[in-house]
Amino acid sequence: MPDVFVSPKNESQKPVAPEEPASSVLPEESPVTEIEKSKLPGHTHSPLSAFYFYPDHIDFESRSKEEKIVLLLRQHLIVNVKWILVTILLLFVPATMAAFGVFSSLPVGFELVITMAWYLITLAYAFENFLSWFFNVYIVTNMRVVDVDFYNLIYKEVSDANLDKIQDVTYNMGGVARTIFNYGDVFVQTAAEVAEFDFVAVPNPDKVAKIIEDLITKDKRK
Amino acid sequence: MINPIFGISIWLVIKIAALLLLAMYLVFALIMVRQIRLMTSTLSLGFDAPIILLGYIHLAFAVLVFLAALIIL
Repeated sequence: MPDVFVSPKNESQKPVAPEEPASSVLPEESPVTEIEKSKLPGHTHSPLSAFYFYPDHIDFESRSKEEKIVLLLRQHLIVNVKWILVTILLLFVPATMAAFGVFSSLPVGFELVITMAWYLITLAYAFENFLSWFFNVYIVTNMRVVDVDFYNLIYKEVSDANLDKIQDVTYNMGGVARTIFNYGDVFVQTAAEVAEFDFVAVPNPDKVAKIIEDLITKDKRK
Repeated sequence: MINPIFGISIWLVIKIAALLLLAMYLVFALIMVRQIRLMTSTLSLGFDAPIILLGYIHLAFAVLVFLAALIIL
């Protein structure tokens, strides 16, 4: 009788495969055709969307040929409500002033020019807010994270960090509006020149964080 | 009716001030068009043509208001 029990070898037992990461949001292979892309949740052609997954017809200045845009984000549409409401209120100001007889003491012609100038400024206010929302975007490619910022129409800042420099990705979505409309902030901490990228008020922050983490994992495997 | 000061009507002074302000606004509208060009060259987001057009509409409106002030006031 043997002293130590030796388990019989199970010939049918297969070697255990290395552990796969939890369900990945990214497809195994980058989609190339429109049919492949259209199956992905979050893929859209709407020019005013705030969340593009594998977007078409979108490009940026410093993109290299082999670089593919995985995600393009901007602030959630709901953040525009404030300036849209202000614009609507501003549109009613000349009519209100006329109703109260503010223009009655002015010479002929002044009322028309003041009204036109008012609408011009209102147009500029709305347009500038729209441009600011539209062009301040966050781009995630298969190689890096890019943050494009335009300030006050005269200052532009483009910062980026390679995926291998990213150390941590966190997100938060506190507050009533953020919970209802499912948007929040994603913070990407890096070892690059820019220490942190803040994706402010982006839709689906959980999904964004997951996509970036999956890209980092994919990048490490290479 | 407001009396003229040193023979100059107060409305003439207001007209000149308004024209100066609108001329400055014209420069701003031009910078805006230039900046839109810069933005669209940095980022191509598939909606460039309507935004550039909107920039030119804004500029045209600014020119119209300046001319209106010049002629009407």
